[in-house]
Amino acid sequence: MNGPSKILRFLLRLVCPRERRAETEGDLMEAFERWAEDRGQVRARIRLGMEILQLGAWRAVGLVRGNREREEAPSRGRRLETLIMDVRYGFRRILKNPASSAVAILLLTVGIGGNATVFTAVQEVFLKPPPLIRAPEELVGLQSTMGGRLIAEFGYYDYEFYRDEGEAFSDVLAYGGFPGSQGRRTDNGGGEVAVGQNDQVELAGAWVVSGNYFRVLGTPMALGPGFSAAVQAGEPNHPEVVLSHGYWTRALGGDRSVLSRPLVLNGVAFRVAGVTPPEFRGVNPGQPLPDLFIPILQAEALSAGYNEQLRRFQEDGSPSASRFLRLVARLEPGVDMDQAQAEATLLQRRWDAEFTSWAESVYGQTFQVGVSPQFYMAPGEIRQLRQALFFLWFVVGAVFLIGCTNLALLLLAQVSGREREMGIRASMGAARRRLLAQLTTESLVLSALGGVAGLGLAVIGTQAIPATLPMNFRDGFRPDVGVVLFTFGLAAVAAVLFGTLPAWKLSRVDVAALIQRPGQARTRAVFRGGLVVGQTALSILLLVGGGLLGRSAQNIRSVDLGFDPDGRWIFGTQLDNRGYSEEEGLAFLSNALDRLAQEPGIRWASVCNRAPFLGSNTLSFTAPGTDFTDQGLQTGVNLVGPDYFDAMGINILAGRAIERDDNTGSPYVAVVNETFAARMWPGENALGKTLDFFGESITVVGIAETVVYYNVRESPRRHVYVSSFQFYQGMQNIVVAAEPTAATLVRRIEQAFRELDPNLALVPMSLEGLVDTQTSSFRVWTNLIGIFAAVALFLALVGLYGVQSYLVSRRTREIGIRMAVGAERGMVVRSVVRWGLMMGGIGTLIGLVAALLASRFVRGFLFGVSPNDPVVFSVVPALLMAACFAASMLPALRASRISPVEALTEE
Amino acid sequence: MSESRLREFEELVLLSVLIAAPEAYGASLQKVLAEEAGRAVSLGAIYTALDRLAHKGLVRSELGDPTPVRGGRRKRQYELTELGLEQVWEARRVRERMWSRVAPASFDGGGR
Repeated sequence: MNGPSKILRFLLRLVCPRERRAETEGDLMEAFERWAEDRGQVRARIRLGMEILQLGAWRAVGLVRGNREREEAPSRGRRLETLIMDVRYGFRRILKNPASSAVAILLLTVGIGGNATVFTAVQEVFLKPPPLIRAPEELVGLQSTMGGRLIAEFGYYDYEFYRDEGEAFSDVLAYGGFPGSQGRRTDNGGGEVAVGQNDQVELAGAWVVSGNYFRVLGTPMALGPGFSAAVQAGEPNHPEVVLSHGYWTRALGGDRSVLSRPLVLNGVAFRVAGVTPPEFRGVNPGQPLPDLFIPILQAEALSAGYNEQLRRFQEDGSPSASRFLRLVARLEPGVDMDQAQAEATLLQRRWDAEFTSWAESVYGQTFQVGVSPQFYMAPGEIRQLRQALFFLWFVVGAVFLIGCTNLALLLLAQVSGREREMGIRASMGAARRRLLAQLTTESLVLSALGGVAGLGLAVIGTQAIPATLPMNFRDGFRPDVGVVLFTFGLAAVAAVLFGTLPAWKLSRVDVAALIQRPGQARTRAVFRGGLVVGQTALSILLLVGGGLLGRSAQNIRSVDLGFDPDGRWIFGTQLDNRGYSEEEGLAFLSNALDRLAQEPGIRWASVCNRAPFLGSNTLSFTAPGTDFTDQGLQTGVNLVGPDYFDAMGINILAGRAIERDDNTGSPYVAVVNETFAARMWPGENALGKTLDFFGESITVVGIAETVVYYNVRESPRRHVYVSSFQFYQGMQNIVVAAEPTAATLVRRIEQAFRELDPNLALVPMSLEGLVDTQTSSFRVWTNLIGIFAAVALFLALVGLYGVQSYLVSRRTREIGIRMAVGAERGMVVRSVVRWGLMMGGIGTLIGLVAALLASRFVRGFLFGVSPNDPVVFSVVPALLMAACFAASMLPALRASRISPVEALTEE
Repeated sequence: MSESRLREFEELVLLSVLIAAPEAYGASLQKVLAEEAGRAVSLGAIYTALDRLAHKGLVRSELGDPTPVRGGRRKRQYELTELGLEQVWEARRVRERMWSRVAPASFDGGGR
């Protein structure tokens, strides 16, 4: 035997008294050798573990049984015995004081559960790589930086370049939305690819992935062989698709025969190459998993001209400007991060040499490329998540501390009741250390119960937490072994935090004094005062945070969007899916708008390439005679149809809107927003000016009000509108402004489109819903912080009230004497309330200073409110002081009703 | 709790100590119990029984010298006290007396 393992040794130490350890170990070793000879090493090891456990069990049984017979004489080597006794005693005390124990356990449950929840999320987001990815430590994400701004997406040309030229990379994979929208699906289940035929068309969300996607990740299929060799090699004309497990069970009923029959996508038969395992979450767990994984070069079958667009080179030889793919590289064995970064820089230089002029003309800047070990998310996403999670952690941490403080107060209040018990134990010969151990065990029992309940809370909490995070963790999180360990570690910390002080005080009883005059052992008010101050300060911090977020939420709700979402609907569609050419697409749009104009209940109908809040086109314009003659000005761009501004309710400030006649036959026109005009032509009238855009000259015919484009929290953005009928894109959104009474509108519009093209899939979205999604994370945050702040305030007040009541009860005799010698009731009340207000006041001051220091950390979460908002910083302290007053007043009034006679006769 | 009578397991342990003597310690007793009585008993159970027997004054123990085997760890060697010998002998006498009164015919019916 090569000696028992460390764990077994530790266990042995736990169950075996020291003076018996050597001989027991010897016996175990000897027996182990015999077992190993008879049954083999593995079984012998198992047997050894069992033996040690049984040793513990036998010892426990023997001790418990023996207790009744033997004198209580704690000594070395009887640790287990005393522990069992203490645990039993702890449980007895809990049962004896059900009310205060329930409060204690509840406090611990909330504190520990909240922390375990946040810990689960932190662990899943930052500490664990996404599941079912082989050797994730070899993977790096590629990101480009442009003028200090990080861009996580690349074009297809870049992908082939890094895959084929990167010597430090054994392989590179790419994934992105189809087509170009990050695999985003609207909440009502709409998507981008039409699955099925004729009347049974349903939409599914799709990603395009490089053919080697699953191979590079090392992810096996749950069903099917995966992409064929031809697809992996990038050969065109092999329409294959991999289904996500969720989609396969949801839409196809988990039917295993899908492998043997084609799946019709956008009218084209695709071979189902496989189904992902149920645990697979993709590369980025913060993105919803798509329904379909389509090899990027096979998307041509879904959308004619797709591959050409991917690889399209501009007339000057530059690659397509469409950047929508995220790249993940697997490093060659032995390559470290520095080497990978050096390689990326080298490749970037070669890329620059070819395309610098192109990048500068389109984006106004060149790129820097970097590698990051956090391959699964873009740095910006990680930063946002980290901010959100650490803020959450701060909040639950503060509640945890307040809870522990309260428990300490609760237990301190019981000190007087137990001084006698401790005195008797001490006089019977119990050492101080023994008393401390017993009291600490009692706290541990309490907190272990709190820990178990907290773990239960965490199981619920982890399902709810994705709503508070900036990304889409649709599946929620599940606590694992690490979380369980964390929870019980935290419970132990709680036991120390709330148990030490009372235990310390209790174990220090003066036996002689106690026996003479029970209830008079000294516990100073300073400690309690300190705890009350600490609680108040923490509650102030949380309340200020809650107040600032609440004001932000209020501001967001009342933000001026610049358009009116009321009664407005958007119907998303993808004309490429139907294989329309540009002419057919334009004809379809024209027919659709004519058809909708006849529909009753519709005030305006128009079309646009990008719906509000759902992605953007960013391009760069030059204009002769401005600061942007050579280097372009970056701006958001939308392609919009006639009546767009009326349909959205956006004001035209000067000139005209895009009209029906702005089509392929007429001169190019643009409407710019105020912000764009002010930047491009400061102090001048923008109307009639010209813009250059990919060699075309466009005349500005109108100026529109600046509105909100991508995000309700954005600062004013530059925006240019060009005509849908002059610049065509397959992605189109029909915008409809309805009469308030048009109840059946959605169904009628869907019907109208079906008449035009029965195979076209539409995704209806209300503009109000889109706005609502924007503000929902704020609402969740505000509610969450609000709840925690309310809990904190309540706890702090309960704590203050408890301390005051306790102090009053301790001073009964003193108050009685004072009143007997002529003190007035008012004076008694004042003296009690004064103490409460003083503690509350000190706590408030400390809390306010801390809040002023801390509030800058929450700046990123605020909207339209300063981190030092005077309203919040004056209302919160006032509220808290009022609450402190109330919490002190009740015990004070009770004190004033003390009858001097009773007080004096009281022992 | 009456301490005069031996429990069956205690009796087996006492016998094992006699069989294993002079090398009667935890592991050897476990081996004897396995081989002679066909019982797989955990060391914890043996120690507990030995403790109880020591408490009753039926066995005594002393620590042996360290030996190079088993990592130089000492053995606690057990032997029966006079009282222990008496009791185990008494147990045997009781059994033999009773066995002698068992009629052979009824034993045949028991089957084997």
